Amino acid sequence: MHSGQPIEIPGRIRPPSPSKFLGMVLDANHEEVIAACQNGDEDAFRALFEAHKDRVYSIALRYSGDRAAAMDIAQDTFVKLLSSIQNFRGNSSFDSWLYRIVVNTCLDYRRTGRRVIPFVDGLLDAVAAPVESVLSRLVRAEREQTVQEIVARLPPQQRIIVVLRYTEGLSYEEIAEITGCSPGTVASRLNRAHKILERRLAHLRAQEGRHA
Amino acid sequence: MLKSENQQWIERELEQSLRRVAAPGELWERIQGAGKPRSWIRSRFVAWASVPVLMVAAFFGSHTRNNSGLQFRSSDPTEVRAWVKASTGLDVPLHTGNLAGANRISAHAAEISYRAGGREMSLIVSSAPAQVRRTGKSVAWTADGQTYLLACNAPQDMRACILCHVGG
Repeated sequence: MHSGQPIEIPGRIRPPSPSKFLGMVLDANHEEVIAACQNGDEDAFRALFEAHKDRVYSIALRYSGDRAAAMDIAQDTFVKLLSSIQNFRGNSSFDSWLYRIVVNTCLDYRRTGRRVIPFVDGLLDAVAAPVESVLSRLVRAEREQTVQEIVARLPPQQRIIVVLRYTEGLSYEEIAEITGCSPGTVASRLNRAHKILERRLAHLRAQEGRHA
Repeated sequence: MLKSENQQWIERELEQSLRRVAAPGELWERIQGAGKPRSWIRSRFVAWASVPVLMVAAFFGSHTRNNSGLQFRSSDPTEVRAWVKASTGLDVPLHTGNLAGANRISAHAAEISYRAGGREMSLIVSSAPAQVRRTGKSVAWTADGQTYLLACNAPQDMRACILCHVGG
């Protein structure tokens, strides 16, 4: 069943090699892949990584508002996953378990002071677009950047709930399970975050009204 | 319950601005390099400073980190020496040849990385005192108040390293 070479946990991971796990579509709980990971199969870990990397990175990026910080958080998340997957017993879904790791890593992350102008890449992408759409793309990119910056200034406990809600589209119940608080607390924090964001983004709404 | 226009607008903005993005390709490489993160090396070095013999064995048993995670990359001994001095205050005389770069382990310790013939070697330098020890694949010594631990995967590498470093 486990064709890959054993990996050192939590040691260095060797470069990937062809495997039955690579490129496979994982089912909701991908039990076989998780079991292989628990037996030290590197290819299985690579398959898990490929299945979840965008999700983990996106949460980290939207939470931190900083690409370098997002890379640190995503890296830490996968290293923690690798070193603790032996402890995964399937009492909750793998997705919930992974969400908890990335959420805790986000909340534990301390800014190191190397924050750069966030999402300048988005603006550069817009400039590189075909001429006719450059202006509209720039306006959109600038608008998104403003929203992202304001989200990044929310208190951590509100911010992570906003990210889980809007980046991941999770329900209040799912967010409650991941963050360990009640659905009522999730609703209350989200409501407070909405109020703050409405206030801080009012100028964008006004601009939109003027241009409509 | 009907949502207000404001709430609908803010939800639309958040969905658009916080949408999922693709992870950069280099994330996997970062994770490979982080299998033994900086703290891994740091914690072992601290242990080594207090229990030299055990540390040499422990360091070596798992010395497989690749040098893709170097904080400073250069093959120029002058540049590496300057970077190590600026980062840790340690002045490490280095010779030309096979240098890959360096890492800052702590305020008073650095790792200087070499690569030769497809093999990796590390020279750990610290201002912490330690006894001089030698095994088949590693050697520790002190010079000018600094402690050095040289670790190689093959004995033939060790002999070449010692010619330059232990000899000063």
